[in-house]
Amino acid sequence: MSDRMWAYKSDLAFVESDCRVVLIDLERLEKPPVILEGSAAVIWQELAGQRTLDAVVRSVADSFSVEATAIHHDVEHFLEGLADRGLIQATLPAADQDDE
Amino acid sequence: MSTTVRPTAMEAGPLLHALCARAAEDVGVRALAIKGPVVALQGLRAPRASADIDVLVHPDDLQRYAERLRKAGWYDPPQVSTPRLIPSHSVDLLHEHWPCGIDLHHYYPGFLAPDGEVFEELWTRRASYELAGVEVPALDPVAQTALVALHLLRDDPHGQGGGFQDLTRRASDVLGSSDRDDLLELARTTDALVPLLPLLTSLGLEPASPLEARYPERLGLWRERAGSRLGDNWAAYFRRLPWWQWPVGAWRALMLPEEELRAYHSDRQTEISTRRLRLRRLRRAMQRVPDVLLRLISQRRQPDRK
Repeated sequence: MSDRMWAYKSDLAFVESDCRVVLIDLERLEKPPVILEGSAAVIWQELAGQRTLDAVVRSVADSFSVEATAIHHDVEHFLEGLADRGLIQATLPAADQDDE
Repeated sequence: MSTTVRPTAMEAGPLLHALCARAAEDVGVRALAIKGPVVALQGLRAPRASADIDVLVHPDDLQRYAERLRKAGWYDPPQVSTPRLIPSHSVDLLHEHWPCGIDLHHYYPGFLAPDGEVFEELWTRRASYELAGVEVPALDPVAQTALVALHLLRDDPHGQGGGFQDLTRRASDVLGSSDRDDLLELARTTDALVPLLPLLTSLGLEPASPLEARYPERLGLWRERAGSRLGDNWAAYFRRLPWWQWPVGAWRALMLPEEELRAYHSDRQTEISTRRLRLRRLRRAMQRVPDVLLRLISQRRQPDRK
């Protein structure tokens, strides 16, 4: 199964501290700022660059010293939510794109 | 996982500068970040939160730019009824989602040359700074030093306060010798030599004599504002009233409409009752009444004084 790569949308502005991220979508200035705290902020920070869901899950699991399988669904659900809000985007790995 | 609380003022500063830079791009307006977090990035002050962020635009672009921000949910605060000594130099906008306002300036008091000329000069020498991950056009360190000095000198005309002393100490470190010559040239070009004299002399710069402003009327306004003390606006207001109308004037000064009261005395970040805000205003007014009365009496004894 191909694993999508997740990345921040390019048109964002955000500031981050240890357990908090505040971001705005520069393509939609009328939208309120999005504030991520605690585990949400950690997931966001682990997304820096381009990461697969599994890679993000592993990093977050390490951060909280929990089993990756225990949080896999929650992290996936959270990423889908961010994608629905237009804050991150998924791309197929290069090999899969070549197949299309 | 996410919450609906608002950003802190410290978080809002860089984000709002990024937002303003994008809004300017959207409508093809040149906008410069002034004061705020860029000053700390330039080493000209310690990082700190501000109640507002400040942006300077060409006077011809002000309304178009403000309209773009209004479309993004920013709104004008209640009409201010407090008397002013000089005309307002900014359009101030608020937003329910943000703890800080945006102050849009079309000129900055102390730069006495025509507003459009000053903007062109400042724009030409702009620099770019990364705020919230976004490149934002801002004043270069030389122009920033001049503008922040003018900001401080409005309330501290002789440059004796801690804020001004801190700026000159830091500017001495940040600005090299060619920057200082550049500062002198900028002050000359923007006709700010006289207003900036305390800064220039504290940096060891000596403008050539005689020191005259090319726009003396604007210098007069600057001097009136820079020499004023807290309460001078109300003293001027009462001076224009016949004495039997003073009780009505005092009532008006104290009992501002609620929205205006909040604009002046609330930090827009904490919930506070109207009653407490009124008490806060009353307390501040009581502290200033003796001084304002003394000024009124002394000015009534000098009827020719403007």
